[in-house]
This record gives sequence, structure tokens and C-alpha cells, in this order.
Amino acid sequence: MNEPRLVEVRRKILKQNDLLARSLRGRFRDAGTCVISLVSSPGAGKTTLLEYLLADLRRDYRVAALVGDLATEHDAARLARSGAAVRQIITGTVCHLDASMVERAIADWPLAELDFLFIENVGNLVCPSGFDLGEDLRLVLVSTPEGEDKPQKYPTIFNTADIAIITKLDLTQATGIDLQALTANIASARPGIRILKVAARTGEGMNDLKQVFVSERETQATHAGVT
Amino acid sequence: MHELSIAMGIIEGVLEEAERHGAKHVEAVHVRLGRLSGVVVLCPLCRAERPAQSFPSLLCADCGSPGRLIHGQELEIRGLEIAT
Repeated sequence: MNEPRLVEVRRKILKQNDLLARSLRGRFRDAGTCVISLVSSPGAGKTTLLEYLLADLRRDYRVAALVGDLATEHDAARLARSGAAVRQIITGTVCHLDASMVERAIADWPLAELDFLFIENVGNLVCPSGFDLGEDLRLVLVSTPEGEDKPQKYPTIFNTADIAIITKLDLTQATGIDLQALTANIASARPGIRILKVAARTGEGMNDLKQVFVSERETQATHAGVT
Repeated sequence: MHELSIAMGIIEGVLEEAERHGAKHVEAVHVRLGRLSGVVVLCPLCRAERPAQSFPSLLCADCGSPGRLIHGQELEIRGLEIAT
């Protein structure tokens, strides 16, 4: 046997996930399904936001949701009350969703009959950042009680997001948060990112958010029509 | 448990690459983890790749305008030390 030799590889560690996510993205595009994922720390309001959006979008669109948690089907039960198709992904000890979990969860869903698919990730500001799920838009949520410096402490997750949403705007006064500082911190972690402010409890800002999704879907449909 | 996925990714990648290079043994694996350290951004004003301001900012160190991330979040297998 020869002496060990060094061979250059330069291969992404998450290559398998990247490849699977790319194929999922292709399937979603072909089916005309606009896919939106949500990431945030636990308790930032992902499920409450989705409860509102599913009920609202369902009036005009065919919507479904996947929701990830380490345990329980609590969130799926909450979201199912909207009448939308909802499936819980129980991750066990795993702290994030990956593309293979999404693929398994949608295996028997007829995608062509869905206009929007929402994917609520496990509540975690660290681990989900590196795992592409094949989504069109990744939303990162940060709630007013969390303080101004979450984007500085967890820059990676903000950097992989397409839109940042400040939630629980109705608690601004009670929490004493400096919204201007929070906005500046988000923009520093992800220059140019679109930032929306909402309160799902009162509905404030929710229509603007809904319109973002509707126009994203229209943009996709236009592109699909051209090619 | 995010570490588990990373570990599995390394094992998968090493096995595939080792086979491709006809390795009998893998003696060592070299990995490169950026994790937003040594961040380089593409600065639209400077029209060049520039270092970012102090972590975790993605503003250009030269002119302070917002940049687009180029390097800094690598998570890759760089090389293998193999015996053939």
C-alpha cells in the first residue's frame, strides 16, 4: 500500500440536501405551487401568523401547510382549524427540517391542486439556516418581546431569509422595544431585505404580507408562462 | 442535533469521494467551516469584493454600503488523505 496522499475534494457537506431541495423546487414550479417557509425562535408567533394567513388565503386560493416540531401535533391541530390541509412533521431529536422530511411529507399530496404551501420550521434561530427546503421565499420572524439584537446574535438565519417580519407589533409599547434599532439591525445582517411589521392578533399589516405572497405567486406564474 | 446532519453529510461525502478516488483507507478528512467568519461581501458601490465590517455586519468595510455575501458561510469537505 502506498503512502497516504492528499486529494482535493471541495464538496459541500450538505450537497445531498441541496440536490434534493433543487429537485423539490422544480416540482413545485412545475405544479405552480408557491412555497413559503417560516423560521424564527420558539414562541415568535409562526403558528399564530399562519393561522391568520391560512384562513384568509383560503377564501381565494388552495392552501396547505407543513409544520415541524420535535414532538406533539399541537400546531397541526391549531392550523387545521382553518380548514386547510395540514400535516405535522415530528422531528424527534432533530432541531430543523430538511428537504427529505419535506419530500416525505408531501409524497401523496397532489401539488398541482395547491396554490400555496407553507412550511413552518422547528422554532430555532440557528440550525435551519443551512438547510434549503426548496421554498420560494424564506421568512424570518422576530417578535417585539425578543429585543432589538436578535439579528446581531443570529446573523446567519437572517442572512438566508428573503423577507423579515417583525411580529407582535401590538406589544410594542408593553415591551418597550426600539423598532428603529431592530430594523437597522436586520438590515445590517441582511442588506436590502424587505421588512414588514405585523400583529396577527389584531390583523395589523397582515394584508400587506398577504399581498407579498400573492404577487410572488403571480410573478412565478408569469415566468412559467413565458418559458 | 444539527451536528448529526452535518456529521452524516461528511460521512456520505467522504464515502462517495473515497470510492471515486479508489481509496482503500481514508486517513484524514479536511473540512472548511466558514460560519460567517472572514466574511467577504460584493459591494455595489466599490464594484468589488470587499471585507465586511466587524462581524456580524455585512456592510462594506471601505464605504459602508450594504454588500451581498460572497464568502464566509462555507461548509465543505476540502480534501481527503487517502491510501490507495
